[in-house]
Amino acid sequence: MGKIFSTSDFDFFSPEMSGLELPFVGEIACGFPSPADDFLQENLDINKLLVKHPDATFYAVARGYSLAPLVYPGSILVIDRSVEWSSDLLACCFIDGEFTTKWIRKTDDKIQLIPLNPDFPTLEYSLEEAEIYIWGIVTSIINNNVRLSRLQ
Amino acid sequence: MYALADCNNFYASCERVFNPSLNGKPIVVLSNNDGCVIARSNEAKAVGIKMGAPAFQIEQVIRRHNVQVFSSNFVLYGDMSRRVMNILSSYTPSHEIYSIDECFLDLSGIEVDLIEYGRKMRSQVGRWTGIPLSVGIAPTKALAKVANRIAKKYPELKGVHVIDTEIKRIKALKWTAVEDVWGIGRRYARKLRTMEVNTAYDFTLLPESLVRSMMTVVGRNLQKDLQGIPTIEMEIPEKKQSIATTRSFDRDYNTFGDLHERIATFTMLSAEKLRGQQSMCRRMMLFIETNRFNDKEEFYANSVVLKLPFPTSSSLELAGFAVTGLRSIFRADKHYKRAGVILLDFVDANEYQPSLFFNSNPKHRKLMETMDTLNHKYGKTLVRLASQDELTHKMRRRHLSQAYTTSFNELIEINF
Repeated sequence: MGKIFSTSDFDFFSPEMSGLELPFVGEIACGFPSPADDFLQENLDINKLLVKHPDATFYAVARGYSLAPLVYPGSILVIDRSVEWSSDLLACCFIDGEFTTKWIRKTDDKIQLIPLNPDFPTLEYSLEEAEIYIWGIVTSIINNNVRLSRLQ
Repeated sequence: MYALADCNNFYASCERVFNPSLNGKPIVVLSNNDGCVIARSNEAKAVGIKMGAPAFQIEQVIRRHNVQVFSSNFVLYGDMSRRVMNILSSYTPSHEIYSIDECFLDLSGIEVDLIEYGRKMRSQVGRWTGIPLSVGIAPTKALAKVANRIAKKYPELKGVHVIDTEIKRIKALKWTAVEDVWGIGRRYARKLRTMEVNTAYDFTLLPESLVRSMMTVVGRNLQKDLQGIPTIEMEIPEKKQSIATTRSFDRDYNTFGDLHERIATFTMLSAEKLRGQQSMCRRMMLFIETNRFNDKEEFYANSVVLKLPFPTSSSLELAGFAVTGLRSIFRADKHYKRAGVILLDFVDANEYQPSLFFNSNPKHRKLMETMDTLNHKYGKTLVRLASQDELTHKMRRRHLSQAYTTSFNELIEINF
């Protein structure tokens, strides 16, 4: 991954489409394995799963805890700028001179930025004062080292 | 019809993508070592900052107008350029990357509402990359360039202007000052002005023989292009911030050796232009791509920006760096359809201060001069690099076998 830009909140990277293909072993049921999984069904290139539009996709390294335990410092966000925003999707947005990722809810007179971590407040802006620019949609989150101690 | 898609204030726009709070504020980007201005946002142009102005001379203006100053980030610009060009290439079977931020698209056979088509390009590039684009569409390249200027100048056109009638062509040419015509240098423009030739339109009315005797066949081709007769195939010489040579291949290339030969040739052509304008470059960008319209094979496109250990204009040295770069993006088992070399980050060859340790081989300067003179005199490719030769199988194989075992020179920064 080549770092292309740094801001105070994110380091931006550009995806490299390598040809790494791993055997896909079927869905993980989190129970006992299905006998069908004995057959390697197809090869899966993880890049293709994560990056649908390489020319519109940027990676960013997250800092901050407002989306914990989904995202924590060091998580890699896959941001696709070609995806149309909806309130259900996690938006990477630019507000008050800073990048942040939140769910955005719009009503007639205000805009809410909704975090995941209960320790963080929902931020509310009136339509006039808010200058929110939706930069892209976080389509995937990559977490390395998923330790229970870290998530709790 | 041709389209010229040109990114608005490209380097400044790249900076804005990652800092949207800079929208509407004046920005300048400085050359390496923060020497002089190489890019300006419209707001910076409006406060009177000139292209090429040395940084120390504009300190006052910068403070007074709170101009945001950036050192050049060519890794970023190269990456954003690759994205923009990839998106644009999906709008035509044939395109020509003209510089890091400009691309000609051949629209022949594309029978749609061209204004709509241009707007679609512009909105996709804007949404996907954040880079604002202007699109000029016209029957010839020189007219597409004129149309692009108009698209940039008048916001109500929403970034797209099409010259598709004789009335529009004449109106556009009357609007264009003769010194603003693509390829008419300052020297010719001054001369033309003394002859009462003030606009591009006046220029098209000059007798053919006069244009030919004054400005050679290059000038005559330009005149024909402006008259609406497609003439310009190759680019027009002008002092540029980046020099690109890109081509589609007549057949698919799938060996490293084949691509290496092409890349070496493109490097050679670009380097010759670089020396022609007395510049040296500090970075080069290469890209390769397969056929987007081939259903049997998955599309692959990749590019790399190399930071060179020293500024150079030597074809030999540049070709050497190009191979290293090519190796980092080449994938076997692909059928390549296009490739290109873009030289960027220039220094003036006459003003360059050699560094203590790493420098371009000074002997190359004389050698390149001789090579350029010979090629100029006896035809383009009398003297060429061994790697350009069709018959250097030995050399090709040597490069091929090294591909997976050698590590990169640490001096080269690979940012895919």
